[in-house]
Parts: sequence; C-alpha cells; structure tokens
Amino acid sequence: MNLRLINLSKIFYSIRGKIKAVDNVNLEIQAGEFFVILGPSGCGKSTLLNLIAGLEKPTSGEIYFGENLIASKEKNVFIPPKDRNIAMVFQNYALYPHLSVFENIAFPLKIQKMDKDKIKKEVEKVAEMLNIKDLLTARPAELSGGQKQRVAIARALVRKPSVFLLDEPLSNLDAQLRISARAEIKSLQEELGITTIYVTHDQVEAMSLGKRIAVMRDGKIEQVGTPEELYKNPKNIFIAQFIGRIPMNLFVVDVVEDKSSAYGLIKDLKIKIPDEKRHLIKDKKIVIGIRPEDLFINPEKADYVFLGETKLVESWGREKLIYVKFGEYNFKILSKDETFEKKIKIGFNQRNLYFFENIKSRNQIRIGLTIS
Amino acid sequence: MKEEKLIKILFFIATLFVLSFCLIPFLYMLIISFCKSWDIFSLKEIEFTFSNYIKILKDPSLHCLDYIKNSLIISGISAIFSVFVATLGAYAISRLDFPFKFSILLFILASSMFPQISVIGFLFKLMKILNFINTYQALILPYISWSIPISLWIMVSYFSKIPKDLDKSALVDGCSWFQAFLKIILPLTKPGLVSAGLLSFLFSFNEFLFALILTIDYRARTVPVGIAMFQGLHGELPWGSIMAFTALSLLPVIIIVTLFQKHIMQGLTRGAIKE
Amino acid sequence: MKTYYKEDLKTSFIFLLPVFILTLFFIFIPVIATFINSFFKDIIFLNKRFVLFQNYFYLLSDSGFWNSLKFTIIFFIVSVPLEIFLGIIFTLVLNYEIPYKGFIRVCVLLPWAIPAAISARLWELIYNYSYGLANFLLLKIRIINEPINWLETGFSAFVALVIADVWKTTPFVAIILLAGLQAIPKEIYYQAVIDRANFLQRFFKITLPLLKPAIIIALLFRTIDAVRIFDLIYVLTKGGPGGATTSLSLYAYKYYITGDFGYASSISVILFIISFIASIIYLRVGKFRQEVL
Repeated sequence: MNLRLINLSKIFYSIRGKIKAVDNVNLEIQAGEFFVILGPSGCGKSTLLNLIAGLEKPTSGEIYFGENLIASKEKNVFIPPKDRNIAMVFQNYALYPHLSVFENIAFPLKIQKMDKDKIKKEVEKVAEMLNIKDLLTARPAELSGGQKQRVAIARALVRKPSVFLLDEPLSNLDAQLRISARAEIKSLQEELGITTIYVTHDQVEAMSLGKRIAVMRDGKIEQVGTPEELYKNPKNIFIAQFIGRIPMNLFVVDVVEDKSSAYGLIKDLKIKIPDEKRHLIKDKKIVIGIRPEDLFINPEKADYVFLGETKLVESWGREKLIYVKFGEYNFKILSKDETFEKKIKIGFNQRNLYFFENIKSRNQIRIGLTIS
Repeated sequence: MKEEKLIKILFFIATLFVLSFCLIPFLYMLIISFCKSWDIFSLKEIEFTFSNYIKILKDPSLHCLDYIKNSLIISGISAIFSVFVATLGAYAISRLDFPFKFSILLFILASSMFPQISVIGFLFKLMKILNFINTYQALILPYISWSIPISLWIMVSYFSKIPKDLDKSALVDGCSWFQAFLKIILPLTKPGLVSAGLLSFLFSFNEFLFALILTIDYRARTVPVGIAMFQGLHGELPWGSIMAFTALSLLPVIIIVTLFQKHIMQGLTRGAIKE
Repeated sequence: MKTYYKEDLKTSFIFLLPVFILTLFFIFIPVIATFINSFFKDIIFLNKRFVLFQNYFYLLSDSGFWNSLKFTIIFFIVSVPLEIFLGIIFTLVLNYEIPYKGFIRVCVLLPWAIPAAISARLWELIYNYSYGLANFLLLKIRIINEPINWLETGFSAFVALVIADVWKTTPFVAIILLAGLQAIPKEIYYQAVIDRANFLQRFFKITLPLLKPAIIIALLFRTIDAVRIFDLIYVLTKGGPGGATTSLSLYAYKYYITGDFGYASSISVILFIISFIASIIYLRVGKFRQEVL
C-alpha cells in the first residue's frame, strides 16, 4: 500500500508558544518501499510518524493510505490507529511489563479476538522467524536490549500490518548489536515486502537501510532522494553536513570574478566556480564543500594541490582521520595512507567539489567554526 | 573503628527510644484492657481478665460493634468510590489533552488543605435538607470528596510514571483507548490503586468532625466519635471497657498497617514528594 | 468515518465530572457558602439578616477569639518544630540498616494511622491524675514528688496536648523525611567517607542540607494540619481549662453547635485564610512543576 501526505502540518501549543513540529510536509511513499525519515533530534520526525500512525491528529493537511483518506482536519476525518492496520516499534520497545513475551506478541491478535489455537500458531511462527522461541515464557524485565527489540518487532509483525513504522528502534542497542539488527531488519523487510517507514537520527543507519530517505529539519522536509542522490547532490549545507560518515569540510570563501569566470579563494588557492553555480555567489561570497574522503595525501595528479600542516591524526583502523591546517582553514581528511610528516601535500579534484549559497542561518555558526 | 562502634550504640539507643515512644501507649492500652482494675499504681495485684472485652461485646446498649460496623462500611465504600473517581480523573489529567489541566489539578489538591470546620455549617444544612442526618450517606459523600485530592494525586503520579509509548503501542496494536486503559494502564497502576485506597480508607476511618456533627446515634456513628463519647453507665469512666473497645476498633488499622506498610509509605510520599 | 477532533476535550470532561461534582458540592461550595454566611447574622430559629462586616467587628473585640487565635499560633509554633526535630531522629533510625526494619516501620506508622480522637482517649488515661501512666512513671523515676494534675491547669494541659500531638504526627514527618533521605545519592556519602568526614560532619554538612526540601514540605504539611487541629483537643481537654486550650476550629465549632452559624462562619473564614496562605506557600515552595504530567 502506498502512502500520501499532503500539506501535512502539526502545531503544538505550549507555554513557550507555538511549535511547528511538522510544517507543510508533502510526501509520497511507494508500496513496499523502505522509506527512512532522517533528521536531528527535535526535527519533528517522530511527530510525523505519530501522525501517520494516528497517535496525533494533524493540525492541517491530509493523509492517504492508498486511496483512502485517513486523516484530514478540514474534512473532519480521523481514522483511529486501531483501524489503520499499522504496526509500530518504539525506541524503548514499549513492551507491556505485566505480560509475558508470548502474551506481548499475542496481544494484537487477542484484541482482534482471534481464536486461541490460531494465536498460538501465529505467535510461534513469528517467534521462529525472529529467533525468540525460547523466550516466550519470559517477562520483558528479564530480557536483554536486543531480545526486547526482537520481541517488539515480533509483536509488530504478527498481525501482518500493511504499514510498518519504526521509531529509532536501534538507538537503545550497543554498537555491535546495532549493525546486526540493522541487517536483520532490512532482510526481514525485503522478505515480507511491507511498506516500511523508519525514523532515525543516525545517517549511517539511514543510508544503509533506506531505499529513499527524507531529510527533515525544523518540521520541514529538506530533501527526498535515494542515499546516492543525497550523497552526490545535497541540496543545501545542512544536508551536506548531515549526510556522510564525517561531516563535509565547508568553507565560506571570498569570490573574485574576471571577465569570463569566477573563483573562490581558499588562502591562495584559486578554486574555479563552474558557470552553472555562479548564481550561488552572494555578496562576493560562496560556500565551498569537499568531503574528507575526497582529499588525497601526496597525490600524483590533482586539480588542486596545497601544502598543509598536520595537527592531529586519529587512527580509525585501516583509515586515518587527519586534521590539517592550511592557513586559517582546517581540513579533515580521511585517508588510507599514514603520514607522520608535519607538512603534507594534499590534493583534490574539481569534480568532487560542492558549492552552496552562503545563507545567513543557524548553520552560519557551524561553518564559522570550521573556518577558524 | 571507635567511631563505628559509637554510632552503633547511638543508633541502638535511638531505636529503643523511638520504639518505646511509639509503642508504650499501645501496650498500656492493651494491659489496661486485660486488667480488672485500671489503676496502674496497684499493678502488682492486677489480675488478667477478658471481662472488659466480654462486657463491651455483650452489652448491646454500648453499641461497640455497631460503631465498628458503621466505620468499616462507611470507610470501605468511601475508599472504593474515592479511588474509582480519582482514577478516572487522574487518567484524564495524565493522558488526555485539555486546557488548564495543571491549574485544575492544583486547585483540587489545594482543597485538601482547607480546614474541615469551614464546611460543616453548609454540610449540616445540606444533609438536613436531604434528610441524610444520621445515615451512612451523610458521611460517605463528604468522605469520598475529601479523600479525592490525595487519591487523585497518587494516581496522577502513578499514571505519569507509565511511559506514554505503552498507550501508543496498545492503540497501534488495535485497542480503543478504553481497552488500552483497561488492559495496559490499569494493571500497571495496581500498587497505586492499593495505596490510594488504603489512604482514603484511613482518612475516612479516622475522620472525626463530620461524624460528630452529621451523626446522632449508633445507626451511623463511627468509631472515633463512639469512643470519644464513651461515658459508661455510672459516674466514673470505665477505663477498662474504653481500652478494650479502643483495642478492638484499632484492630483493622493495625492489620492494614502491618500488611500494607510499604503501600502506605509509598502513597504518603507520593502525595507529598514527587521524585 | 468518524470524527475525533473534539473527542479529548469531551472525554476528559466526562472523566473529570465526578471529581468536579464531588469536590464542588462538598468542598468548594460549602467553603463559599461559609464565606457568604459570615456576612450574615444567621442564628438558628431566627431570621437571617445581612450585616456585612459586623461578625468580623465582633471578632475584633472578642477576647475568646483572640485567645483561641493565640493558642492556635503558639500551639503550632511549639509543636511543629518539635515534630520536625524528632522526625529527623526517627528518620535516621528508620533509614539505618538493622534487622526487623519492617517491624520498626510498622511500629512508627501506628500512631499516625489511628484516629486522633482515639489517641486522645489513650492520652486522657495516661494523663489521669490519680492512676495515669504519666504520673506513675514520673513519680517512679522521681522527676516529680507530687502527681501533676495534667489537664486542670492551662500550662500543663498545653504541654499534655503538645506531647500527644507530637506522638501522633511525628511518624508522618518521619515518613516524608525518609523519602527525602533515600533520594540522596549514596555516592555522596562514599565521597564524604573518602574525604574523612566523621559521622556528625556527614550529618550536618550533607544529610541536613540535602534534606531541606523534604523538611520544608513536612513543615508546611504539618503547619496546615496543626492550625486546623480539632479532634485531639475536643476529646482531650475540650478546650479547657477555662478555654485555655481552645483552638480556632474548636472555637468555631462551639458557635456552630449553639446555632450561631454567622459568627461561626466568620471564625471559619479567618481559619480558612490562615490555612490558605500556608497552602499557597506550600504549593510555591514544594516542587510542584508542570513536568509532573
């Protein structure tokens, strides 16, 4: 089943005033798609999920499940969560502490008044699938984090929902478990083909799981696309910094223009600004970005080369994260080559550069920091 | 480790002091209730007897059992209703969205601090009009109302300790909100229900002023008033009987405190301190 | 298709309705009625008459009222600090790791749990001049040579009331303080031991300051309760001797039962205002915050 969100907004009123948790969101999610909503904490992604689940009522806008209107303030329609055939996994799993694992998983079926034998069969089937058959008699308090998470997923899937919602389901697990659980969720989803919406603040999780990703900030969707698209063509500074293992190096630079072309200045390095990006120049300034993995040490051949001063080397196993100072500019470089020299030659290529408009926003502060 | 030893001795003495301070009046009550004479100066000659108990149980004109029965029924019903009403209200306050929520809660809580004397004038006239004087309902209605604040506060604090994700999860799992309340939330607040119920029961069992004014005789009079009014039949106070009656009527309280010590302490501190 | 947008408001109203009705009819309306009544001359069997502040003017010149106000204030000034002080000792004992901890807790709870009127009867016997336990013990350990006529002189009756009240309510203070004490992180004590603070230093420099919020709460709860004290006095001294131990509640009560509702109401209003101010302070100082919900 596909999902459509049209002009969806949710406003919370509190003592401090109005908070636009979800601000005019338009999205279409395909049937069977693994869709990730990515954003920093407090960006409204969980509220968006709650709106889809029916746990919150929209302030304005509409939600469609397939062809059915599910919620609309204007048309005074609201289908309660129990009639939406959705399943949800919560960050803290929300297992019912007074019920055993079996009863937890059986709960959605019991509410539907399915008969006992059938419940037993279904629960055992899903328990088998998730490898928790021997935990069925335990209480949630006796389970480890990973086990709880499996039970929560089992409870969600037992009812064969048409939409599967996950709200940061991995953030309470330790790093190792997170990676294996990630793979498991992905293969489970592919196997069952359920339309899945996954909310996370972790871009690695988003990139590895999502078929498409929506990046959210301050209640707004900043960009929607495949992981590849987000990585290659970030729409703005925020996404550029948010996507990628290590945040992109970003510099606000002065622009010099001559008759035919424009250049950004990183110290004495003249970076050519492609003609199609010249519209981004504002007040003779532009933001240039380059990913740490696109900087090379001692390059044989590169469009631009400069001599930097090594400040710090962090060993990340096979790779090294090198902090390099070039004049007043600080670079982070992800490299497989080790270096012990104080002065190193660094190169990068024109095609790996990103250009953004220098918008005076909250991010200004962050970019400012990378400059100093 | 001189200090440690000193502290141990100090605590031993303090414990002894606390215990004797709390218990001596009770022991005194028990001893007198089992003695023929209540003159402690002649303790050596005092002999053990059940006669005080037999007397208060046998003499129907004393109405001791009536008072105890009245107290238990009135307090029991009040406690059940108080908890029921408070639970509904607490659910709304902790789970539903409506304006002036916090102000309403504060307002109701503040009402438990009003002096009872400032309502008895109206209450007496009201009960007189309703023809409720000297009936159970004359006491039950005010008792429910006056124990609502503490019950409400305890229930709100228990409800707000249950993660809201559990409600959400139940809703997504196909429950209506009422099913979610009944099947998930309520079972998890059982200790709160017990605490609130016990504290309301004790409040009603112990209340004196309303009972004094709104009841007339054994048909509705409760234990505290019964014992306060106990005069005996001739002149001098029959202390042996009074103490036997006291011991007997404190039995429910003593049983409750012994069995539910933890619930009571929790309820009290929830009512007072919010962790 | 269902409409749900206004459901919350409606449901919460239905859920809160019983609470509203009961508290309204048996707490709020009676209080308001008492306020209104205090502006009337309302004596039983006589016609009700609006007299504005006349009842209050009478109060000003009524020495009985001033005496009971004075008694009420002195009573809580003496008894409440005593209860807090003893409460702290109780709390330390309750918190100390010893065998039979549950038993000690039950014993401490008992005085609090029983009806005040019944405890008053217990103390009445204890204070009995010719065969009470108090005189017996004091004579035995030779603190006094002559038995004291406890309830017959103003001062000794006051002392008797304070002792009985302290006995009854210190457990409550102790329970509140115990919750505060157990909220103090153990690590702070470990650190203090490492820093070589001795027992007394630990108590005065750590326990007491960190217990302060709980003490304030206990203090205000007790103040509100002590100000409206009725049961204990009604049974134990009946306000005597000669009105020396009449609290405001009892003074108002005496007018209620003689049928002078208007005047009794004005006394109740004064008491209400005193309690109300105390409870406002309590709600302010106590950590009542919206995050609770």
